[in-house]
Amino acid sequence: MGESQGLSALLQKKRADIITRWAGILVDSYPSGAHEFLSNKKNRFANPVGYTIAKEIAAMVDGLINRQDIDSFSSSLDKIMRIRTVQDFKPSEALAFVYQLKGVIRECLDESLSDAEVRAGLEELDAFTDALGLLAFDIYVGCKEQLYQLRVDEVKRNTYMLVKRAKMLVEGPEGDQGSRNLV
Amino acid sequence: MAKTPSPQELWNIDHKPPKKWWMDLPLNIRPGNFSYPAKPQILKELDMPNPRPWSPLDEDWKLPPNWKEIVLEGIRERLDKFRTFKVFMDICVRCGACADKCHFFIGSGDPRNMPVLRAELLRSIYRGEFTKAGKLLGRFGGARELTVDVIKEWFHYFYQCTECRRCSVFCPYGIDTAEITMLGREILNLLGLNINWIMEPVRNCFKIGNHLGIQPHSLKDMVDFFIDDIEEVTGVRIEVPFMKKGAEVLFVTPSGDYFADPGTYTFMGYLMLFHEIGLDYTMSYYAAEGGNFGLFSSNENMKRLNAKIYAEAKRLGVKWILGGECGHMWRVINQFMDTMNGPADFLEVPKSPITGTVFENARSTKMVHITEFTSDLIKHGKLNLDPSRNDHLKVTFHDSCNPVRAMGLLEEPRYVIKNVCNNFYEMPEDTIREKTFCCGSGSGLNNDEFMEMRMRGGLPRANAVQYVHDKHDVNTLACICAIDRAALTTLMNYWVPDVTVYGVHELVANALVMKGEKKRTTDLRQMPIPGMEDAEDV
Amino acid sequence: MDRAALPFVAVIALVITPLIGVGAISLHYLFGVIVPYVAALIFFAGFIMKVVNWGTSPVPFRIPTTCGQQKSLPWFKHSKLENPVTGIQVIGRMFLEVVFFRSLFRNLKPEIRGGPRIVYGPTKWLWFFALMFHWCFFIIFFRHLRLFTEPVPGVVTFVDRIDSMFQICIPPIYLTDLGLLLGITCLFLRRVIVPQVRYLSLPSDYFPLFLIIGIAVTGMLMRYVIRVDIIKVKELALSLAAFSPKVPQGIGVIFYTHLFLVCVLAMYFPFSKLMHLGGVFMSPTRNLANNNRIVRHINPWNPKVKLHPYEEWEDEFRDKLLDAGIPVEKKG
Repeated sequence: MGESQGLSALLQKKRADIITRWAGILVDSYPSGAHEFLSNKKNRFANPVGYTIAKEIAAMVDGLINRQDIDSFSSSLDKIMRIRTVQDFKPSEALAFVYQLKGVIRECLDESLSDAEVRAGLEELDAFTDALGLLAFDIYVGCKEQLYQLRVDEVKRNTYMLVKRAKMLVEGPEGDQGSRNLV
Repeated sequence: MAKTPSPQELWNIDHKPPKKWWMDLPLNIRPGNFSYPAKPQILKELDMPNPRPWSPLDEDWKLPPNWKEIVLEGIRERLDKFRTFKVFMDICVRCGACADKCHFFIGSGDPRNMPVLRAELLRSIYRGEFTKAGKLLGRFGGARELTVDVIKEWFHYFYQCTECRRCSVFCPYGIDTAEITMLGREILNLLGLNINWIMEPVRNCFKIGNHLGIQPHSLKDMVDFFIDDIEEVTGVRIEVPFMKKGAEVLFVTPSGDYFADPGTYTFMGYLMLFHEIGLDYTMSYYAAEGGNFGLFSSNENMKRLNAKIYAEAKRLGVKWILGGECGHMWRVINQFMDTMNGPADFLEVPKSPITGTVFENARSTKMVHITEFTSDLIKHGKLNLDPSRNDHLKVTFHDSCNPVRAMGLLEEPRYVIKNVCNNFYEMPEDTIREKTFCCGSGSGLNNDEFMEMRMRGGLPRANAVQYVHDKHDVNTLACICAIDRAALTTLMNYWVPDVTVYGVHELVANALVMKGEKKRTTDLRQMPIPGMEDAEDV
Repeated sequence: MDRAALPFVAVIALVITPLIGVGAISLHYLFGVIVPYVAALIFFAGFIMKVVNWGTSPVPFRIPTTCGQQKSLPWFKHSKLENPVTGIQVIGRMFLEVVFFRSLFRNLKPEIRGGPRIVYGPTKWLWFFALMFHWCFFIIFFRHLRLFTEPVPGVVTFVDRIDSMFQICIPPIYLTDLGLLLGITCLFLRRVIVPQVRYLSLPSDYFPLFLIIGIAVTGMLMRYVIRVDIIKVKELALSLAAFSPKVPQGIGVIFYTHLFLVCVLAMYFPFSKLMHLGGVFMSPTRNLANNNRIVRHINPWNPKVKLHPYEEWEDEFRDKLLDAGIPVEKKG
């Protein structure tokens, strides 16, 4: 990632602000009765969603500041997207927060936007955000595919002995082993 | 021509949900968050009302024309039959202590999944239709009118509660959402609003004897497979008595144990244990189901299914009953069976034929939990155990909701695990014992169409497993529930893929040194045991 | 907030009512005698009817929520108070529940922040202020017995003396007055400030809060600021208690305001969530022992249900059973 040093320094200065706003966007995407609960990030066991949002958003903002490689974002993005995939969001709603980063950063850097160097850096950052969006899309689809796979696996497991009895499985150690590895 | 929106506007698309109070929130029914309705044929076979094809996605749910009358009469009847219903409708102060205790709320953020609001869905109608204050004050008094939309809301949210009772632990008045959900579902059943994943097992269990509807001769074949598999692993050929009159003990376990991976290994574990101690027991094809999905539809259905166990114990002339690892089955046995189908005066107070221990705590019901039985065997040194065979497993234990919060079975399974495994780690305090988090799939919601909701609801549990996985390298999640074994396996695959789910008696059987066995090189799953792969047969 | 506004207005209106009724049009007898009698009647009758009504519905199943180790084998330590099996143990559990709000206490969320130090989050405040409020309310209620008794029982005087032992000003401030006001204010603020609790609150949750705040404020005004003649108040109270009501002249209108709000609370009580006072004793998940497997619980309406008896089942599967060599009762 190649945006300018100047932008990195600016982002570093606004780090807390960016994290708060970006995490806020995620929290706001939930029904209003849950905001306070999800904003409380202190107890990871009582509130895994809020905790994950707070932790992974911070990690990603740090990644942006330190201009890390896009691959290093996949773990954080996976943790957030894995949750959003199984919640009541349309795909666009689940992904939107990534693109909303652009707006968040502009709001936070408001006064510096006239600076040409910053603007050039922002363009690069936008391109990077788009790439993040694509990565998030991959993860989203991956999770959905996994859910369908889990459904199939579960049906197979639930009726494992039935199928076995129906002699639909190849007998013998190898075939047996293979089907049991469904677990 | 429409103005092209600026990039700024596009980035800031407002995805915020409307800030509405719960009474005004629209219902969001979409694939993944509801379960399929019961098939008409099944309802007919059970003599249940209003069998018809319908879908929650339809506008018209084909309710009977006098649905409102049915619902009001249904509520009235249950108010007269259940003190819990009356008291729980009247005394909630909405302190909010329960609000963030529900795994579905934690995982979804949907306010109507707060236990207090789940109950208010019903309470608001109670106030509006059955109390003077409610009639007088209307919405201002927290009352509302009974409409078809309310019924739809009930269906959606009473089938989004796993009856785990976690909220009840924190309630200053012990208000039990599980009880409210059970009553809510009974009322919905009067309109023919039920789900297939519950009603089909109820029908199968009633008509045939187990949830999957496997006929007795097929079940026999399956058990033969287990006998073969056990011989392959241990070199010991065992016998599994079925329908044996005059046996000392009737053994009943959820059918998930003999149909579904990985419950099957737990089942093999029981069989090996019984063989090793020489227990005079029998199983039954008629009462082949420990689980009871009737619990998830109505008290009458629960009674119909549960009645088979005592009836079969009587017919076979056993002395007492032993129950396998299952969660909701033990809620039924501990809190309902004796009341519904007792007294079991034809049985004797359970006494372990191996140790002579008398199970005084099961004096009336005459049914003992297998971890009570096994921990007694271990305590008296009756088992030859080699826990090092489980050394490659770093184990944590998931307390299943019902054995904890409707029974208090906390130490027995832990005692057994610690005697058969050398590496045991507890999950964080707030997520175990009476505060345990549900698997997210209980109360008949472990169907595959409900997958997204289940993954959400299971997140708090998975998150705690993740923690011990990261911290102690835990790779094994032990449990004592058939639904857990199926559901947690899926849950782990999604959230913590390195963790495998085991039944406690699978761990027991792996560690159990049997008389005349060959040197074990594989575990019950026929996976090589690390460090013992190349051992020669003895 | 909209759900709090109307209850607030309602309580203001209730405060104004006796100000006009007594202060402007001198309905002393109405507010001093008739309303209190009616209120007492409604309270006692309503309360009893409600509890009796609950009692008429049976408890078909014994369904305690168990929160600790069951009584099973001797080497597993039985958690007697969290999972009672005897009557005494149930009383112990109920005592902790009613007197110390045991379940609410569980709400504490210990958090480990940086090192071994355990910090409790803000969730403890609900337990703390709820406990403070209820205890202070109870003691204040108890202290008021000195107005209805002559001679005043020693125990009432004793409580009174303990309560006012800090001679902060004249007359000495009651600790419970401060505690009640602090407790209820915090419970109110919690309802308004914590969005989650605000979201699930009903107008009927705010109304009693405002009403009790009104009662506390008028009561304290009467003691510390706008003094009323306590001798005359006691005269009235004793006459009411003796069912020969006499309204002494010259009790300040602030007293009638206080009394009227108390009467409203009493009349509102049996029809509201305040019945949790009675309900907490009646909750089957708490007041029953987890001894189901030891003593059979009887369901008075245990329903007759259609069963699928073994004989029918065998008839349906006989051929298959015989083919598979499974023993049957009847061969054909």
